Amino acid sequence: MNAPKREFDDLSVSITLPAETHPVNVVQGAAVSFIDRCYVLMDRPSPQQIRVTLSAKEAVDGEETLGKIAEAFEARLRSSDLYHRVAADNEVLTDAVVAQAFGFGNAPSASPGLDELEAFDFSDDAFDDPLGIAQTWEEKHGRPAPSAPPAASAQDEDPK
Amino acid sequence: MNAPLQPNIGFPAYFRHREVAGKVVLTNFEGNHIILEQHEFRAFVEGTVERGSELWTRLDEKNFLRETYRVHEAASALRERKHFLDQGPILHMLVVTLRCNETCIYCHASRANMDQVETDMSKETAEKAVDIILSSTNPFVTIEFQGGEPLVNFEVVKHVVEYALKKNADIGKRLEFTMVSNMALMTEEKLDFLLEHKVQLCTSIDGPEKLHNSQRKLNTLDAFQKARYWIHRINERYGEMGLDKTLYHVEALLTLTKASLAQHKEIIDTYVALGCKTIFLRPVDPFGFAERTRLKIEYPRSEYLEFYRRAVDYILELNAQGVEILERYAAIFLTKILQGTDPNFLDLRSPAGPGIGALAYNYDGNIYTCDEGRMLAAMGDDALHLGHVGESRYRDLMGHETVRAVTVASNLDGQPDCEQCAYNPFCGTVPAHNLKTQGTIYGHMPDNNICMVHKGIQDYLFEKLGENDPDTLRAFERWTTIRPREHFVHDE
Repeated sequence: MNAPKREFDDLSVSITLPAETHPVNVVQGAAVSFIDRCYVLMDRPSPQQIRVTLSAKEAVDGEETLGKIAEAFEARLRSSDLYHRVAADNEVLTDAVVAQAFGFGNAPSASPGLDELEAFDFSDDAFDDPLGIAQTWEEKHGRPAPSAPPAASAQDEDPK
Repeated sequence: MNAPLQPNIGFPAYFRHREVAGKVVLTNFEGNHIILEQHEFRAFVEGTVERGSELWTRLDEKNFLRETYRVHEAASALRERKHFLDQGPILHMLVVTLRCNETCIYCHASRANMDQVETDMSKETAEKAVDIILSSTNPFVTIEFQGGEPLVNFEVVKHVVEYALKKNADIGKRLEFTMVSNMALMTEEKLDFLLEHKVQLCTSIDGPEKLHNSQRKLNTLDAFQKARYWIHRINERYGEMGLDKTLYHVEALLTLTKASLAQHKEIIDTYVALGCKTIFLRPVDPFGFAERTRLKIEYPRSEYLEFYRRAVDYILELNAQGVEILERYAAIFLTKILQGTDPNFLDLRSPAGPGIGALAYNYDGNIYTCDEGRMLAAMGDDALHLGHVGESRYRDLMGHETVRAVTVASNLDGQPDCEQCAYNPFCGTVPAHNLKTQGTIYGHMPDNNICMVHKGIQDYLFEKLGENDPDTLRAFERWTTIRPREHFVHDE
């Protein structure tokens, strides 16, 4: 990561970072942890830059205190960067863990048994469905239901 | 100053980390943990750990290495940690009345005076609540009688027990009843019924007599004495029934006020003297009392955490002397940290319990995601109201947009800050608390009181684990040994 640039005023410190080496989610991940101490503003002074402005909620005695806040932010930023890079590098593995942990094929306890399926009241509406996700295509679009396929004629039958 | 880390991406498997007492606590995706010295952490992140070394072996055993990461093992561990996800509500809180014979300094909106009989639950409402409870998808349900003071409306308590047992005879759930009572209205006749029907009893003790009686006021000024009498009497009856007294005894709930913080030893000694084996050092909730009361009883969470450390240090001292008492918050976290499973404490899991793990039924039949939701409604905010026993079906409740919202909001993997927190696998947030204190069910974790408490307690526990003191580790191991109280379960 390129070095951040700090700018101070009486009540706040702004840290400007090159956008190319600082993905927004990494910067957000660091910035959010300062909302207990500071008012936090993130903006883009130019397309190539991300700026984080930290204004202390309580009175600060000058640049020294703000400098400590900036240091803490930069340490948090490095930690956030490490987290996101490791998470991205391991994403295929963690996705596989989730799929195995919660997929039906691997979680037999989550699957209903035949007795439970037989007893289940499928006529009961599960949820409100304002988008019609649970509706069939025909219900949703007012189309007639497809007619039953024609019965196989005698000619289609395999010769005995 | 140390040189910045030069990460070797490709060496570590997924991990989160946090510095605690000069060491580094790491947790991985499925919730294993390891505590490293700073130089070990650097070697891990920079990928310079020598293959086959002692550190390599430790990291490998806990599944922290990308090269040897065992997906199937991680999936099994994650499934175990989230075993509660496909179960449905287990805890059903029945507020059988708002009337209460005690006036507690921290209780305001959730109680009514003894003449307000209109705040009693009717038998008809109670039956409808039980119908919903027994339609839960969870094969194990607990009906918890709350108030007000539930003994004030004992006829309905009795009716619920008898109705639920009768109805459950066909349904066949494992059914449990618990009651939280101040005990002042207990009689031998009521106790006979409760013991005969295996209702687990729990009371409230705020500490030594003087502190308790100054916070929980009876007209007769003997709230503590009455609670103490019935704790001993019930324990005696358990003994007469042939139950193992180390497992079957009355436990108590503690409300920590500002006045409590200076009395950790006195409070713990009181619990030990009463025969309690558990003490739950939870900070006071922001529900149910007026603003002027809040100023009298509330305290900064930093002061609470100092109290917590002193108190648990003292509990560990007692444990080393052979006294059997555990701190419940610590036991919940340690069960997750050391045993790799989740004890399903509903306020301390992800996603949290409201709705999908618990429901609260008010005296008037209104249903809420949790007891705090009911209290919020009493204070004018019905955001966590789900329906009514007369109209709602179980599926309406589970599919309710509020249940979905609190479930999404309390999933820590979607919470900024929690996403990267090393304590993510062991932690939880409370949507009702967040709503009350921060105006959003999501909350803002960096200045969230519950987050601060949870982080502070886990910092303490990992500090203790890192010290490797054999007495402490033995106590922690004992605290995480779950002994089910099968006597209280109706499964015939």
